[in-house]
Amino acid sequence: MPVQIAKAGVAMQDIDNMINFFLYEKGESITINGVAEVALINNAVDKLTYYNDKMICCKRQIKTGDIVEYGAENYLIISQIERSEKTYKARIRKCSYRIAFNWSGNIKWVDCIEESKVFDITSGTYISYASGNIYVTLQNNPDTRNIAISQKFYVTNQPFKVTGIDKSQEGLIKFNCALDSISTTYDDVENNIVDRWRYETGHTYTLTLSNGDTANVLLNNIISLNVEATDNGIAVDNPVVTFVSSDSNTVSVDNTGKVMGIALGQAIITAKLTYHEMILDSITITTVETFTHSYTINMTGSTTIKLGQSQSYIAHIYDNGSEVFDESVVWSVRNQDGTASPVYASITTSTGNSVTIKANTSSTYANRYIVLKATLSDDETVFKEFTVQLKNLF
Amino acid sequence: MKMFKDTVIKIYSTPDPDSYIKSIDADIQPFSKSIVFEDGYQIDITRRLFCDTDDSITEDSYVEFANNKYKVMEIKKWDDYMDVCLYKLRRQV
Repeated sequence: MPVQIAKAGVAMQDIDNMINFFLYEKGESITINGVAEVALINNAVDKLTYYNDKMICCKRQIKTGDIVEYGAENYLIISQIERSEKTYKARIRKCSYRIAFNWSGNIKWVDCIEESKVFDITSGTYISYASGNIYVTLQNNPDTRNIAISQKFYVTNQPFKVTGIDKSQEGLIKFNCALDSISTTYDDVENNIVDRWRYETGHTYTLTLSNGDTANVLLNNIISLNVEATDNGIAVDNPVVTFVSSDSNTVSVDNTGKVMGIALGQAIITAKLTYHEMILDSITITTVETFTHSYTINMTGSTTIKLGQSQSYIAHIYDNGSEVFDESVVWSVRNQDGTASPVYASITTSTGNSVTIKANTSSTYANRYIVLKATLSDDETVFKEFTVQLKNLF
Repeated sequence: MKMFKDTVIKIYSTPDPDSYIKSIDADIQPFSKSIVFEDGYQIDITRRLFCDTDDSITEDSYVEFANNKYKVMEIKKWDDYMDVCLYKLRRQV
């Protein structure tokens, strides 16, 4: 039979009967309200427009207001659904923002389409909203149905409040919104979360290696690093810490803070809070063949003391990073501002490596600082200073 | 009709190799035609298959030859043979 290359006419056909083939060959992986699905996705119009709406066609039943995740973007089904024998079709529009709504500390993020102008179907033109007003379209779900008039939210670091609610389109909720004022006390403007600090406490973490700034370890021996972590000044039990050595061929460290001397030399061991890597402390470890004493002092106690009241402090003495108990310290206290008299606080008792100091009763000294110093009895070049602030009683 | 039955084709009910039905001899010819579907989908027919009438081949079928899979897009049934338009799958899995 001779080879024939025929040209035939073009005829438009329905894809409904061949949907399985089209989904296999042209389908794209998406999710619909978080459930994985394969669908046909097409541009809704030939020419590029600002919204760049798309058409979705799939075998699974879809509804107006469903959230479609496609190509790492979230879309909202904004049209009614065209149902055929085997397929469902609808128009989707890319969600422009995620808005955080805060219900008494319960924060829910909601995908939305934010517009500053609307299409007037009677005139066939776009009408711009008054400056400071926006129009927000959301999926109608149990969360968004709880959004009330005057409820506040943030879009691009600008606060808005709901001034009108339209639930006339099934599956969607539309809000008229007006610019509102920023609450610098309670709003997390940077992260676009309204009233966040009314219900949450900011966390201030600290991490300290109490072995001091330097320590020695014998070749092929082990010492343990002691980590102290606080959250808003309160000690954290069993903090999750990551240890890293700057040169693991010289000094190695495991994930419990045990340091081993591998080869003669020096390395810096850094301890970080695993989930807050900016919170860190470090210590220089030297691998040596024979020990020479290397003392460091660490002090524990409150950083504040109330006027007229007493506080106790303890000095921990470390020799090459390991705490020792056969050494002692000499305590002294002075005013941080350099004045000698009157003293803002004085030592009342001193026993072994602990001390109790009492703050002056005069309210004149509120918010001033004192410096508590612990000096190693056998070597006055080894000392630790600790700054304490005097506070009012109330 | 006289035709070359010089190509063995495998018939499947889906693109999945497990859906294999049977093999038959057929005549494969180059062809050029486009079928336009709604929403702008265009399917280009690049092969035309001629074979004896066989009920295993329907418009839902897939065929394979020369290590390529094709989807049956159109079938014309004549008295004693079939004329089948084929689309080469983009996904050759």
